[in-house]
Amino acid sequence: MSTFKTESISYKLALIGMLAAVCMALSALEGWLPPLPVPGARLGLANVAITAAMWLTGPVGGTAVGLCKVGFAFLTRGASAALMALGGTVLSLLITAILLPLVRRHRLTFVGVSVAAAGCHTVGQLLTASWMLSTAVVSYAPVLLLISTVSGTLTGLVLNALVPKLSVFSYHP
Amino acid sequence: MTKGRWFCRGDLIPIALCLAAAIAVCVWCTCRAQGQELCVTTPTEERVYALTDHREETIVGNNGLKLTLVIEDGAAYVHQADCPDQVCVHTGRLTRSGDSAACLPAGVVLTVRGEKDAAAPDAVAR
Repeated sequence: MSTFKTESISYKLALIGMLAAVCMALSALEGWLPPLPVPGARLGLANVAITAAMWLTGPVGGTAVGLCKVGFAFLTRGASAALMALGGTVLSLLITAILLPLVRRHRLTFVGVSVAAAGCHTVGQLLTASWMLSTAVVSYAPVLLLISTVSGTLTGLVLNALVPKLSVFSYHP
Repeated sequence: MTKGRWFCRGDLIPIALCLAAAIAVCVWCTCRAQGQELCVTTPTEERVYALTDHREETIVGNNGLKLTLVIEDGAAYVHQADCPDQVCVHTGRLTRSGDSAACLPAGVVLTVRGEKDAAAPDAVAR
């Protein structure tokens, strides 16, 4: 099934490490894509790995992968980008942890979770940005929220396709 | 498992909330009063320009850093700045009362005020 029935810490740790690597690779890949016309808007592909990690290994694993992504943003894009990523990631991790149980109870699919996470990521990012720069960045909020609805739906569809296949990883003989 | 399920009715709730938030912020942004004047604070002085002006100004801040400020069509923006981070340039157009941009290396702050804001301190009586 979808979660670990085993207490194998090393297996879980290896999986978290692997997903963290995937997450960073996706972040890098996203950096190479042509930038969206709105500053700060990103596709959020890395969120696929974070949500998968949270689904397979629980909230602690998901948080670890999310924080790896923030560390990666710090190394590649500097401190201010990392701070904004941190603001967004904390909020989106929180909402993902809250909503994933609803997916297990078939009330939501990953589309709902991803859209909520993307929206929260935008809100967190904008809150950090308005604290760091000026409240003028709030004027970007509508278009950023629209983009996160679309990108959240896309990453959610990817997760809906991917997670049933990934459940092979949670099988432990 | 979610096998075979691409979408369910519950997913519409986060989507609707996101869109509602976008609309709410949009409404809130347009409801704020159009700014009347731009207050430029540098380490040495404070200058006020009317936003209705059409002008280009060069502001010199700390460390000799220069900012090119453009005011046109009721909006002000920093067109060019010497500093490395370019935060004030990326802040974009300031139009509404309360909008602000800052260049920390140069110690320059731009704030848009409405007429009411400017008059407010005069109206305080104790």
